[in-house]
Amino acid sequence: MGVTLHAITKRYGTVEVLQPFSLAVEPGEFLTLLGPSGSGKTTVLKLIGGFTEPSGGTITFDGRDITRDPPNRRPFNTVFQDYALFPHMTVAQNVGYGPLVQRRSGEAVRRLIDETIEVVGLSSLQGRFPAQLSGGQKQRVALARAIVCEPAVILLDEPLAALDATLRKQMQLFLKAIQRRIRTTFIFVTHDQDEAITMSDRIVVMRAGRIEQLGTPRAVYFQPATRFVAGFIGENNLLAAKVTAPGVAETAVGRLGFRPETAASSGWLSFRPETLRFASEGIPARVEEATFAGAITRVTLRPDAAPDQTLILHLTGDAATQSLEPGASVHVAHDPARTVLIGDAP
Amino acid sequence: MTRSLTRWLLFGVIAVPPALFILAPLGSFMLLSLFHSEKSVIIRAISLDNYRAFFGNWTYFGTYLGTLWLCLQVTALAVVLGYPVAWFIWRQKGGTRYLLLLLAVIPLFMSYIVKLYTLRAILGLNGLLNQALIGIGVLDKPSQAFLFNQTAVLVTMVVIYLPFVILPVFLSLERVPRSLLLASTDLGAGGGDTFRRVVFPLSLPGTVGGALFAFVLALGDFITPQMVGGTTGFTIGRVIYSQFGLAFNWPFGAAMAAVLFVTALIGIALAGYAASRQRV
Repeated sequence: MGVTLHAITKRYGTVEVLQPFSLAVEPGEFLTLLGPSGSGKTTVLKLIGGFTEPSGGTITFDGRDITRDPPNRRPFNTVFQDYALFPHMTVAQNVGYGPLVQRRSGEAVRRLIDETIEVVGLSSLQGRFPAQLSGGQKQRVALARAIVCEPAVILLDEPLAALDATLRKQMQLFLKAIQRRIRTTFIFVTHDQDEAITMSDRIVVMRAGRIEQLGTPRAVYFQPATRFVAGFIGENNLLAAKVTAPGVAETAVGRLGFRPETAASSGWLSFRPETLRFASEGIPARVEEATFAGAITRVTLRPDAAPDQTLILHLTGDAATQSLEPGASVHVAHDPARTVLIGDAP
Repeated sequence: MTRSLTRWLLFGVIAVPPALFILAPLGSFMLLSLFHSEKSVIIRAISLDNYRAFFGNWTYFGTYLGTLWLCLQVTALAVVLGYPVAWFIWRQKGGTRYLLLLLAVIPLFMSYIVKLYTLRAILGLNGLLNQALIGIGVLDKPSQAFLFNQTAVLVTMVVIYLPFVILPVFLSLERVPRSLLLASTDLGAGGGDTFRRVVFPLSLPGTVGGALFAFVLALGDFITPQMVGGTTGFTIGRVIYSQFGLAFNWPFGAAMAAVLFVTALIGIALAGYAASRQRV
């Protein structure tokens, strides 16, 4: 069921942009392809949309091979990064374009168009032209234009990239709400990890044309599978580690406990800045810098045992109001239950 | 206060050359059209006699209407032939595209006279066209039907003004964002729908611009009719030319030129209106 990519590869000349890449998209989920630029995420979206052909492998939809089908023969629609609204058509005409060229007409279709425009909150702007709309409104038109075709999958290519921060937050929630309402599969491409975590049911973290990790936002955040994922998503503390006993590893700052889930004997211990706290005993360190950032205070620490390493600690709530002088000696305690070992070569 | 003064001064300086070289001659020409000529001497008395003579005499007015009709035909043909060429060039990729575009506009770099003689050579009694038709057995002996008539003027003008249509049409096609084509396909449109509903409407401003070029240039062209028009290919441009060069009735020639000028202005205004109705 749903869209499945089987060992898809893509080469441009001699450059391999996708290593054999397999992915099964669940029907109705909000799946995000997350990765830095050049990771191949947009290529995956284009391959699913039919805008480019794979060099190898197959793409199926509900078991049917659609690898060579042109975009207009696939039950998918795309929301383009620059919106790609038709400048000579009104909002209503833009939204009605799909049904028009698909030769669907009649009362039911007209009602569908009206409803869709209403769902995205543009009823009062139906007669406007794209040039008379703000970025967020254009975004809604682009979304409505895709939704009205009732596709099985909506592909979104960094649709929020052009919006300012506040509007972006609003649109994230809006997109998520729409997706819940219409229960259509959304495949969303972004390089913004916050966006990915906020909106997705599952995240595919990509690097250099391959999947680094596929999982829920929680899994990707708290149990990064690779060192890249641990570093790419949010702030993280990473320490080279050698396992000495189940759930205990030797690091530059001493022996630390971790969740004994990996079989690897060495790798990186990864723990989030918000899982660290000040304590009366623990890792001895010196405060290098404490930066107040609103909801949190971000503290950079130099462990006494390894002054070349840094640990980052986030203070939240009441603790965030406490002021810390650079140079102060402190002890920090880490939480073994929220520390994982990443089995890369150190 | 001083800012606006500076701006007016600046405007004044910038406005001098166009005023001197365009508005002044036009104005004096308009004035000339209100005088009249007796035995090649210009009498400076204001009257509308020249215009009355022009609109009242079918020889002149009919020629004017005929020219207008000819120019509209030239415009229509140039657009009908030029648009597909521009579209075809636009559809090409990479180097081919600009090579073809260059080939299409190369005639613009060639002398007008050379092009006219080339066409005469093609359409003439011993020309390429006759030879080819005899060669394939359509004609027994060379025909004179291709040169020195109204149709020859039409064909020649279309050939000469074609690049003026191809270039602006191509440029307006080039301005259509590729993502719009992708979006149209994505929404389920085939090639025909995408062209009819997206590409063509968005290329209209360029098409109108190209049509305007062809129309205005054809309207003022008096050399082509002279060179390939023979006795039937008579246009208002030739009449005006003869008033200056042969009849020495400058005021009457000026009056007819003024009518032609206003006609071109109306054409420009209509085209401007048509283009402004497009939202691109």
